[in-house]
Amino acid sequence: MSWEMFLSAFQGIEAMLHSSPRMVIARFGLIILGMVLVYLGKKGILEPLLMIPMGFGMAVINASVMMFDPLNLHGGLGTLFLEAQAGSGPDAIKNASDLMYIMGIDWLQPIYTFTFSNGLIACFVFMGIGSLLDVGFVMARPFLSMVLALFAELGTIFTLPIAQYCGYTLKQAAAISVVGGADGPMVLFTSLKLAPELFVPIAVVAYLYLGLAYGGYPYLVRLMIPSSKVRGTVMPYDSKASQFSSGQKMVFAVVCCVVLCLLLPVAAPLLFSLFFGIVIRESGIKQFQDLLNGPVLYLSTLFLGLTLGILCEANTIFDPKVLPLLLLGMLSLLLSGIGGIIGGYVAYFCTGGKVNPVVGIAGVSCVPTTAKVAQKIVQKDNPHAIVMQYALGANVMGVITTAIIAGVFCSIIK
Amino acid sequence: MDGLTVSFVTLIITVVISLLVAVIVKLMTAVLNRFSKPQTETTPAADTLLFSDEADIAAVIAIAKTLK
Repeated sequence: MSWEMFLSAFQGIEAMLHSSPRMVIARFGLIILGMVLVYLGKKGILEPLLMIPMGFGMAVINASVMMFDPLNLHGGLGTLFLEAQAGSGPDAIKNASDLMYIMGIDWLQPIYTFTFSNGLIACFVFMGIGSLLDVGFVMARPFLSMVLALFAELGTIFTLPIAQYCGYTLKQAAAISVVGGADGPMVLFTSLKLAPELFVPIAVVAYLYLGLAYGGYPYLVRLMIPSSKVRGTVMPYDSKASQFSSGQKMVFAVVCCVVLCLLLPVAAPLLFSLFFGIVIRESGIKQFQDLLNGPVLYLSTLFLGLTLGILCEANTIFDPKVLPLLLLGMLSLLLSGIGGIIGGYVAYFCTGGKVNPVVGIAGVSCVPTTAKVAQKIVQKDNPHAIVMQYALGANVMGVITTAIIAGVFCSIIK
Repeated sequence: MDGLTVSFVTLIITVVISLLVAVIVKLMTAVLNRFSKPQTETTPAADTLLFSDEADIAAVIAIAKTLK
């Protein structure tokens, strides 16, 4: 058997030999990182729902590169999974024919083209999240929730000028800064609208860091609120949230959605999806509730994680423009966490110590992870302190605030 | 527009809209509480009572029908 025959039999090895040493190292690095993500997901250190499909996809895609490039986009190398750049050229007719051609070859291409590149998957995830949200917590304390959520947008607001200073265009900088809103679907939606060329790395960075937030934020809270007495502040049990009927919650969701869509039509698909989920939850139609918070949410999360992992091919990730993004994404989430805790302190001092400042971290949306983080920290210092209902209010308002910011970015940045 | 201006304008608009949402929630809650019927808590006992009431009515109707 000749060497050429051996290589054509094992195309993965042939593809490695045709790549630069830097790219080969990057591929092996990503394969190992993918396996680590699967392990951390299984251990529960990172969010398993996302990290297991994402890590598995990342490991496999970097091992599956072969001598195959039907659209001549990557110098002869490609995979049989999906081609993110198909149909993104300037020629509309060629784009259509390229897409039709590649959809007949790459098995995940239909999922990517019909659910990712138009934001449908983000809307599906939002419908599922909405069907799990209880807006009674926001209705019980709208102003406190609003203050905490606004402070927790510090990262979104400050990262934009910093990213622009780092050389990104205004649209790209805005898309990167939305990572600070800690809302995966919102990041997907905004990057698709404002910077589709950076959609893949921004989405990957956002979801990777959102997974890390669960493990990292408790350290930030303990650093900024060193006193265990303050962290364990008992908040009075408030039964207000349970006083609202489902009809009242539905009226709130419908009116709020209509007003926000009227003000920010650009973000209407996302706002509609979120509030539609809430309306279904409160409507009492059990079949729809089960559909949204079961198959719709979990199927879209599964394909979201899997597709994001598949998109983590070394060629895409190791772009010189992408590396600063890793730092900016982290900075954005860090600033939002700091902002949330500052908001918690403001509420603590304004109410004469009645509000536990740890609740502020829940303003960084990421429903319901940050609310659970707040409760976990508080309960560690004082097993009798329950802050979950206040944290969920800030959490839900955080989603609304991030949607407003995403809408404003999409509207004013042309 | 540079990044700082966009951030500042976004912050102002977000604060205003969030405040509007909070005010709408407060107003709506007040109006709904004023005009909606008080929530009746259905306890198992109440359910039984309701059930027994309905059963009584059904029984009376059935008796009325047979008498007819």
